Amino acid sequence: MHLAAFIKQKSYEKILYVLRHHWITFVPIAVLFLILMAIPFALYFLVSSLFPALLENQISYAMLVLFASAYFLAIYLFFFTRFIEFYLDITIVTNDRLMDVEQRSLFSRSISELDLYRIQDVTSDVHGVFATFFNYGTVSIKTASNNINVVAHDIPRPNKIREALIQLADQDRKYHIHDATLNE
Amino acid sequence: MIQIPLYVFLFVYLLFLVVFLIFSLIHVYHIIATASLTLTSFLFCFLIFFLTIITLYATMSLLPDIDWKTPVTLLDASWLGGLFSP
Repeated sequence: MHLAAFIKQKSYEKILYVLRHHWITFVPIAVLFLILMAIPFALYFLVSSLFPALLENQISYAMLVLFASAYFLAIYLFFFTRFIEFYLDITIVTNDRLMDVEQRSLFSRSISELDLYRIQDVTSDVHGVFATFFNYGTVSIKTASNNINVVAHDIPRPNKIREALIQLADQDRKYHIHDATLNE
Repeated sequence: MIQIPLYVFLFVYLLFLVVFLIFSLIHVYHIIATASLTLTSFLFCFLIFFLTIITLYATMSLLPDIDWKTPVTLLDASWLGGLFSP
């Protein structure tokens, strides 16, 4: 499915930004994955030195191989799931609206949509050493409504995005005021 | 004495493989359904697929000479023989 079909892009609409989490925020998960992958190899060296009879017995050997294989596949699935949760958090900004897709878990997704002219405040936060060096942070978007406030976490260049959103909101507001004036 | 053939564990493993396949397909579906099929997601899917193939190949090559009909004793009364004696 193309992004245009996903957001049901209108004829006058242009996709300006597609924001995902900064890649550096996935590194801890990748490191955890590598550590979990190394555990069976470490256990193999332990077992082969301390309990070599386990590897010589046909039954225990077969069960250990099957268990290790299932463990590796479970790790891959876990890693894949974490990637899905990381990568499918998207914030799409067009010249007309903003759409925030939050993949909370594998079977839980929340989509918020708001028109740009409704944006009242945009705040960008950059906290921490890594966030400062790699230039990523949180952008919080507030509207007049109490129900819809969009927060995009760990996105690259949050200050630039904040400035762009303010500018786009102003432009959209002028367009809608012009529309309202014409309708009177 | 309760005994089961070794291939029961192979069936459990195959059942786990089916579950793994189902969840992997669900992941791929999520990527396509949210218009997230990019170079990054494609490379990641390929990495997972490659690791899966390597793991399955290694599993098959480590288990060629196993006699799957070998009985596995789950419970033997003689294990509890001295448990309740004074």
